[in-house]
Amino acid sequence: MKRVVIAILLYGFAVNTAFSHEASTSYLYWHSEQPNTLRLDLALTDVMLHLTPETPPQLTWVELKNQADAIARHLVSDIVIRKGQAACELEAELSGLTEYADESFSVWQVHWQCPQEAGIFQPTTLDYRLLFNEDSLHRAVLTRHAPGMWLLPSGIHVLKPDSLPSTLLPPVSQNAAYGVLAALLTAGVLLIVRIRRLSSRQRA
Amino acid sequence: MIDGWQHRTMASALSLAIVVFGVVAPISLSAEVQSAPPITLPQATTVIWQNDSSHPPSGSEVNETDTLDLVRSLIELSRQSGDLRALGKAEVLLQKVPASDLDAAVLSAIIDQRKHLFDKAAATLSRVLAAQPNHPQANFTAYSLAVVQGDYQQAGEACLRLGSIGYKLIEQSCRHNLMGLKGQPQKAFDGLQRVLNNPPPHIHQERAWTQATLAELAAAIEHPDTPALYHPTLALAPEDHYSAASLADWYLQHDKAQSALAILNGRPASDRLDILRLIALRQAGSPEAESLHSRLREQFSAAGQRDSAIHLHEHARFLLDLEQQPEAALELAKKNYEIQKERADKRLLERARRAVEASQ
Repeated sequence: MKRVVIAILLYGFAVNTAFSHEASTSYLYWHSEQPNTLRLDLALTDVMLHLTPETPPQLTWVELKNQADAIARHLVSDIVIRKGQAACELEAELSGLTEYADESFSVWQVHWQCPQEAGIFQPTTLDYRLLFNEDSLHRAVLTRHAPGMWLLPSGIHVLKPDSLPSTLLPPVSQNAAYGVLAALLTAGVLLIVRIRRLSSRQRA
Repeated sequence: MIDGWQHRTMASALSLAIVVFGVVAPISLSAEVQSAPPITLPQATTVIWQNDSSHPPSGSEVNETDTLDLVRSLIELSRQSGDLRALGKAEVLLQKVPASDLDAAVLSAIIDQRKHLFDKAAATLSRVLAAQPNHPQANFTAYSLAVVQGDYQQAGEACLRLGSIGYKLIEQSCRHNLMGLKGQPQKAFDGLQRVLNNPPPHIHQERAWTQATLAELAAAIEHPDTPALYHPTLALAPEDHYSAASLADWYLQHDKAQSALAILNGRPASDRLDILRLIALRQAGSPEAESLHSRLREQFSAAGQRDSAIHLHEHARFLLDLEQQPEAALELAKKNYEIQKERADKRLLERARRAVEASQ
C-alpha cells in the first residue's frame, strides 16, 4: 500500500515541470466573402485519438481519406451554426493538410445552408463543441476576417467549453441601425457646431 | 422643415459617417488577423502521422476504481512526457466520478495544480483534509502547493503530518527544503546530508525524492559536487525530468554544454527541456540550434493565442535567454512570480531584473 501511495506522491513534486506546447488546439477561419464556409484545421493527433474507432500506429493520406466521411459526421455533429434560432445544415469535406509548429493538421472545409425562413435580419452564430467532451484543455482559435464590417470587425477569439456562441455575421438590421445612429450622431455634432457659429456671428 | 444649410450639414454628416465607418475602421481593424497557413495535398501512400503518444485506451464501460486508475496513469503520463492532452483527458474522465469521492477530489486537485490553478487546488485539498487529515496524497500535494505559493507555514504543517503518518524520510526532506527556502540553504544541505547518511526506514522512491532535494540545495549553495549529487537521483528515478533539467541547467551555467546535451538526450520535447537544449546547442555552436529556435518561437506564439498561464516561466526564460528581450521577459517573469514562487521562479525574476538594469 505504501508503495502505491508513494508513487502517487511524486505527482506533487516538481510543480515546475514543464509541459510541451502540444495542448490540443484547433484553428477556425471564417471570411465574410464566403459567409457560409468555415475552414477547420484539426490536429491529426486529435482526429486519431478521438474521432476514429481505433488509434493506429501510423496513418497514410489515403487511409485518412477513406475515413473522411465518418470523421466529417463527427465534426458536423459538434459544430452548430445557427441563423437566429434556426439550425443550419452542415457538411464537411477534407481538403488537405497543413502544419502548425511542426504538428500536422487535417484541413476541413465546413459548408452550411440555413433554412429559408431565417432571413437576413438574423445573426449567424457558431457554437463550437468539438472535443470538449474528450479533452478539457482543448481550445479552438477562431480567426474572423471581416474587412469592411465595422460593427463586428475582424478578430481572433479563443473558444472554450464555457464560451457562448460566437457571432460570425451580425444581422443586417443591426448594421443598418448602427449606421443610421452613427450618421445621426455625426449630423448632430455638426449641427451644434453650426448653431454655435451662427450665434457667434449674431453676437458679433 | 429643413432649410438649405441644414440640408448641406446632414449631407456632409452622412458622407463623413460613410467615410469613418465604412472605410477607415475596416482598414485599421482587418490588419490584425492572420491568414490561414497553406494547404498541401500529399501522395496517397505518404505516411502523414505517427502515433507517438501512449494514451491508455479509455473504455466507455469502466467502473469507478478503473476510472481512477486510468486518471492516475494519464496524470503520470502527463508528468513524464509533458503531454497536455493526457491531462485534459484525465480531467474529463474524472468528471464521471462523484465529487464526494475523496481520492477523486485529490486527483482533481493534482490536475488543477498542474494547470497552475493553485487556489482552486488548495481549496479542494482543504476540504479533503478536513474530512481525512491523514490522507497521504492530500498532505503531500498540499505541501507542494504551499511551497509553490510561498506559504511556508502551511507547507511545514503538511510536512509534519506526513511524518506523523510514517513518511519519516519525506518529512526530513521537506523540513530541510523549507529551511533552505527560508534563507538557510547551507545549514539545510548539511543537515539533509547527515540524514541521508543514516536515514529512517524508507522505500527507494522516498530516497530518490530526498536525494533530489539534496541536489537542489547543493545547486542553491553553488556546491561544486552538485552534478555528483544529481546522478544518484537520476539513477533511482531515470524519468525524473525535473531533476534532469535542473542538472542540465547547472551544466549550462558552468559552460558545460556537452554534459547538458548528454543529460537531455532521449528526454521528451517539453518546453523547459527544449529551451535548455537550445541554450546548450548554442553554447556548443551547433547548426541545429536555428531550426529548434524557429520551432520554439512558433510554439510560444501559438501557445500565446490560448488562455493558458502554464507557459509563463518558460516563455519568460525564452525571451530572456534566447530572444534578448529583457523587458518583455521581466513582465512575464513578474506575472509568473505572482502565481508561483519556487526557487527557479525567484531566480528567473532576479535575472530578468538584472538584465533590464544592464540594458538601460
